[in-house]
Amino acid sequence: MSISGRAAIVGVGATEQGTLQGRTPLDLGIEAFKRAIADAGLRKEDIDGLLTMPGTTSPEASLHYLRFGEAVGINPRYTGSMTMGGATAGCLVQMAVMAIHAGLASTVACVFGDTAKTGGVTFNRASGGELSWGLWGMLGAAANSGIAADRHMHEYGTTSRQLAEVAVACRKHASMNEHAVMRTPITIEDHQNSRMIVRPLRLLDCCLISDGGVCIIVTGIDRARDLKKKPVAIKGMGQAHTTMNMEHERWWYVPHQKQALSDAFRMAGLGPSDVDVAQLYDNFTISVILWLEHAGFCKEGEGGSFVEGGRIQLGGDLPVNTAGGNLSESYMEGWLHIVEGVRQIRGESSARQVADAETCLVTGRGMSLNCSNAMILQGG
Amino acid sequence: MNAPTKKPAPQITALTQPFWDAASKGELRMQKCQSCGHIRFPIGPVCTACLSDKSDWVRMSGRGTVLSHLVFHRAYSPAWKDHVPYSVVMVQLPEGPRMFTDIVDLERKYIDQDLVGRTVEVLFDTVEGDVAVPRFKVAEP
Repeated sequence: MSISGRAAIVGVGATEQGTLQGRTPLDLGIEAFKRAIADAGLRKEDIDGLLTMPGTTSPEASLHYLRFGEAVGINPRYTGSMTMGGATAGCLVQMAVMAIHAGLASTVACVFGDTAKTGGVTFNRASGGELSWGLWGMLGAAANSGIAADRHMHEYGTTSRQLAEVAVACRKHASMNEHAVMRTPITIEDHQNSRMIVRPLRLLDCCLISDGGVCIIVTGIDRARDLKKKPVAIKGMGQAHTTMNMEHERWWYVPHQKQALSDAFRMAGLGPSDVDVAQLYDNFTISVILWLEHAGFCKEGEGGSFVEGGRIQLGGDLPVNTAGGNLSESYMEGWLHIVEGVRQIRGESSARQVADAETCLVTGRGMSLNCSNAMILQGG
Repeated sequence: MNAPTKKPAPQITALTQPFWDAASKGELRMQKCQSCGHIRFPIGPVCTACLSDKSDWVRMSGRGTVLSHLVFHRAYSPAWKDHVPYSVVMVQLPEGPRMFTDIVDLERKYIDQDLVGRTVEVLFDTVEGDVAVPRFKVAEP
């Protein structure tokens, strides 16, 4: 039996977001967990799978699942932690679906909590291992996406003003989201006047750095239909990764994302024209343009012109990042993209609800352009 | 005036020792597989094409073409604090490998330019004792 639609997201929980003095990644994860099981109408005793992403400030690192499970009093049948940066959330939800399909767990909580903002995290990691790129000053997340933006500009003529369209759209959506961190609308000129961080990327091309917690509960579709909220089925999922950086000629274009997306669409039996709303991982503005091309909403190289004229804003052809995304809602490394996807399919997105949203595409991307995933969500 | 912050020195391992030994002599060398001829970079224990562990450290010409040009206006590590704004480029070597390097541009002639497509050439910058880091400068036409 195909795994398509066999599991569903039945509970989502998010804490307050932003600068949260005095909080810890553990307690933020716990608060999100409590909110998610309440959202699903479950008790913690119903959770027999626990998958976690350690926050950037979590002292337990890859042993985070042990500490989290102990803290909430769970002895899961299936557990573990994963660290793929912004690809982790989607990969964990997919792992939950697979574990449920395999009979290794019935109801899985996927959890993340972080205090990157108050912890002073700057996401300054350098790739390169023993020959760290930091030797040559090639440090930080903005640099990798800067290469992507610079190459895209040279190969396809993409402009900084087109990147600005992505920032403007996300901010507009955040302004309609009372939980978003950055809610004051911005213009293309505001973007153009923001300071350069790593040329060609300006401040308003960059995502936020935030404190917060998010939890997502996944269970089998039959059980899901007996729970409190309308189930949101995972109809399609795909992943693809490249661990090669400099030896991969088109590394900067993250072409493996196309594989993740085509696998997800194929599993769902759907294509880009079926998508009503999309939550596309936006660590930097250029990433949205790449996703649009890789998903087939436009041709390669045409993502810049695609986003012009408010096309990815609410009311446009393809509303993207309807809660504000990493750029303006909060930087929960893509966890909130899944939450907003669920809310759109449930019809819970209030002022920013896309009318009759039946199909939502959610994507995740992490590390030095290395890891990617895609999911197609529909009502179950 | 205090001396500018020192750019970082490498942590040399058994694997990377030949690279740094060559650099201290003013040579850019990379691993060429004895079995299939693939030149790999970054440095690794086996050939990324055929997994052979036999390789020779062959000398690169030291010239390359800029594929992408970034300008850092912010220092992500204290070592780079006094160097901003600085350029980092992705270089295509004619021998096949690609690598990142900062651009040595003491007069800031190139900081506002777009170096994509330009030819760059290696130089060796002593950072600590006899340890030298290969960096690139713009080749004058």
